[in-house]
Amino acid sequence: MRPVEEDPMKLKLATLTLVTVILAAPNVFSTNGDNMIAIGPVARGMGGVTIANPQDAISAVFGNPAAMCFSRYCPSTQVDFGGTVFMPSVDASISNAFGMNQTIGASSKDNIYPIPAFGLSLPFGEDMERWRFGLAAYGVSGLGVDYRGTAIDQKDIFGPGAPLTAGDYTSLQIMKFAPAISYQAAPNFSLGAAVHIDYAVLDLGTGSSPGFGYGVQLGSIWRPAPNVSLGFSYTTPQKVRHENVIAQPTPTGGIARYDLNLEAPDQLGFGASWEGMDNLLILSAEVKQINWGSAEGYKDFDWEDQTVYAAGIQYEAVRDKLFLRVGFNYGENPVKANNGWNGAFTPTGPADVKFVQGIPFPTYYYETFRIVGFPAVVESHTTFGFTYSIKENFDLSLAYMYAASNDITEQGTGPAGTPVTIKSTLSEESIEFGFSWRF
Amino acid sequence: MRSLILFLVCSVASAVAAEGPHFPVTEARNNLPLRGISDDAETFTLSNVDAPVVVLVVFDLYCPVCQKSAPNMKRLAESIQGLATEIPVLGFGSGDTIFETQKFKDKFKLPFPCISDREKAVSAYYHVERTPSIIVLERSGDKGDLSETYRNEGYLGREHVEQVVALLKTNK
Repeated sequence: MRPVEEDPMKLKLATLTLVTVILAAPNVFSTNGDNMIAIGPVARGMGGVTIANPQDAISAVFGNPAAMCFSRYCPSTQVDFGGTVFMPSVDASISNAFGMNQTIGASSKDNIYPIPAFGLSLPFGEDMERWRFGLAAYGVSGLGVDYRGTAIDQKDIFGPGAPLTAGDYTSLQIMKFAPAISYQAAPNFSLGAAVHIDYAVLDLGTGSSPGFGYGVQLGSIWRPAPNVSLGFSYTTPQKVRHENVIAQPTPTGGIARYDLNLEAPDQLGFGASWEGMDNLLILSAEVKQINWGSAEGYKDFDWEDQTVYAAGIQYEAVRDKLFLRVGFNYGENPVKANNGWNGAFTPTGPADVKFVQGIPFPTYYYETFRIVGFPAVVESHTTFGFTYSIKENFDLSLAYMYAASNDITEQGTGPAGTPVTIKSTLSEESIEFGFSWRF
Repeated sequence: MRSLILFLVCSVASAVAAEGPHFPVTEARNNLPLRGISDDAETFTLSNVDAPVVVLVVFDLYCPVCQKSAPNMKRLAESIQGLATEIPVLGFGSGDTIFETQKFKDKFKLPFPCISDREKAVSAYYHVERTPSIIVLERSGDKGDLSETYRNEGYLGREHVEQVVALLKTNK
């Protein structure tokens, strides 16, 4: 019998379509800083826990490449497709900018964003149970606002070239492609590594600036008992240079363009998982340290290191058929609230200037850019979801996430010399869906 | 010469296809008697086992799901031992060496013979795609061939153990 052959053109077309969809996703989102709490409906339904006991291919590659045969079967190949409908709600206000106790506020536009994800995990080699290859492509980070045309978008209000706020339009998207490999060195111990290829696009209102970054993720999983799993994961910093992304007016009336380095911070995570009730119940928890405070770009805008705590429960309500999940994720807002700054304008120019990678920012615009333009301030996320196995080898999953509203407020002296208050509020909802195919 | 080798390979392959894979008797015994197999035999096939029903447990030492299922493998064997009819349970370490197979048996205290199936002959013969797998084989037909009456692939839960025991009780 002649073997069935894949049409190479079809395969190329499908790959190209997938890559295009992922790259085209306008992922203006944030959860832990500007990172998603997890990728795909399975992990997100469990509060983003992925390090010790990931339950699908996307989660395994995203959370810990050491994850081996995570599904209910060994050594199946698993392919996951996921989609997220992300619905952030962002508001900003500036009070007393002119000394009349007035508040100018607005809501950011464009509140629904689709984010696709793809994951694959398959055994390879002579001893197929011990080696696995994984690949995932997903939108992992992003943040931004669009206040253009709103009450906040007031140009020249403090004079020519001096708007009410900087950062009335920002958009950062980071897509990740992660080929991974894992090796089960012992029956209860596995090691893994993934190469991260980041494609990031930053737009600060003067045109988008793409760039590439690279890094590595290392992980291990140890099972001291068959129903206990401990996981460790470390991701290196990944720097992307965005060329000509910042435009500043010059004293001669021209526009100076500057490059900006944005570095995805290194992350260190540890997770634990326990399975009980004849494997029907999974309790997982993890803690993750995200070092925003030492990452180029983020540290320049006074972001601080963040510790993220996540916990999730999966209960197999009907064996091999229905899996219910609930989770919680908390990470303290990494954006530092500065107070007491001097953003006044004098006849000779701004009273104080901040330098970001050598780029001068009048202090008032530095602060409004941080607070209005990049308000990654949500802290608590509640999630739930389920998976239903339509067939033995085909699952459908759905999850919902709610990130409770949180705000950041800071006070200083505004351009008019009055005490000014800047405030941003962010809440998020998202619906995740996906399907998994094992063969 | 090439023709002779080809003939021998084909002969062995057809013999395996007809009777199923051969296993070493010494390894299978593990101090547990297998009825129908003489003491001086070096190898045996499942067809040689003198029992109306044979239960196969296919596992892999490196499979986390197998490790999680192991307590229920033990539970299954103990439940079967409690039945009036003597029904042999045979474990196969799919892709595992003798050492690895024995490691799995010892670690989880499995009370049945476990045989290394390094070349995955059992998995190939019985079309086992995933581990762990439980297969119940019953004798049927005029020649008393073993035919499959139950299979579970993937995690072995207590309900699967109960299903197998109920099936064996029904057919005793």
